[in-house]
Amino acid sequence: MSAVDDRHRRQVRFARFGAEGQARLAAASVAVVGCGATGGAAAELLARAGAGRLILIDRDIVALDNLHRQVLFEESDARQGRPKAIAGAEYLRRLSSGTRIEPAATHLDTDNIDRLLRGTDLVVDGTDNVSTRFLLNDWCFERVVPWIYVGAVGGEGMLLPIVPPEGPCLRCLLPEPPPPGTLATCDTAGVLGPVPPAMGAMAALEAMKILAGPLSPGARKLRTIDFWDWRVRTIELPARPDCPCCRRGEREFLHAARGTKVVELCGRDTHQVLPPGGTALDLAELARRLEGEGEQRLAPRLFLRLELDAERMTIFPDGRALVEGAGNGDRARALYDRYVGT
Amino acid sequence: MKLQMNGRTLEVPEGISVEALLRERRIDPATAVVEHNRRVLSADALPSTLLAAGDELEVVRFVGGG
Repeated sequence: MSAVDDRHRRQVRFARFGAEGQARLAAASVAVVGCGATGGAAAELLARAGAGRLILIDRDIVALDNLHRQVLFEESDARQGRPKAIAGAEYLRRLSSGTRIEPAATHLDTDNIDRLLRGTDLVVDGTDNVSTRFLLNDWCFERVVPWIYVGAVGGEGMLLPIVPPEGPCLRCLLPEPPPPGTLATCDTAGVLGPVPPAMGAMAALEAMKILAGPLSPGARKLRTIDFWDWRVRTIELPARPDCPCCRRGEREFLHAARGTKVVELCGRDTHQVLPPGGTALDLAELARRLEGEGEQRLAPRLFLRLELDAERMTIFPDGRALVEGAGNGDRARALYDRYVGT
Repeated sequence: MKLQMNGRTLEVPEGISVEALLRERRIDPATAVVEHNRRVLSADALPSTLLAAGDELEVVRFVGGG
């Protein structure tokens, strides 16, 4: 047995995965979009399991309050504010030299998704926002690539392996992106450290099963876990007969620009974040949810200003926000998703 | 009348619809999946599905973070 085979022999011994599953995993390219708490754990386990190639995409930088749940990073990464994709790639190379690790420290969008995900056999969702997930859903159905939706917040998690060309897809679960500010985020509802990595581990496992094949009867089912009260549920989510993506073949988020737009305002390190139209934010409610997150100034019906450590965000009732001091558009978008939530 | 929602017993008005119950509990129906007696309800069935004593509801809200 070679050294590489030696490394994975316990996994190969599990007959339902076996040498064949291992060989398929070693030949596979997996993209992990978002290398935070869920994506980071999934990426680490896939690297350890022997995935052939891992594409790590993340637009954000490491912060101190990431470390309780984001397993790829250490204190020095947070001190230096290193890009998560770069820091994560370095760590993964140290623990699995046989895996080709390709980091991309950028925001995945309609312009770069074809290039960044080229040659991908499966996508693991490690994102923290809905707009990137709608884009992934469209792209994966267009290219017939399986992807695994994972969400984690508070003490609960949700997972749905989505395997085109058949549904259900993300839009059978959530037909339209909810308006900004309606979903709980890890910054508004908090998150227990072990919850997202547990969900990430399940995503890595589902990825291995799908890549090894054949498709198990358990795929395409929605799993939800309330870790605090231990309620574990499996829901046979039907494909919606009128689903725009998996039934009607529309690709609104891939082709038309329905996502959130970020533009740089000239000359003063300010970015405008503009969610898709028709948003009405309750600023007083948002202020309540963000209590303790920096200094607030609320002018109800006009704006909510949030003074963070290094940045300042002014949020308007139509969902628009101005982010000052973010340095670049990806960071501005990340801050918006974190505090307002899309 | 009493019914089960997410494993807990709940006292609700007779004949309340699923949609009304969700709204009363401040759950946005657009971000929830509802299983009524183990069958998933489509979004357009939420207002017309009336609840009876002893029904079992599972309400799962979309989880966004990661």
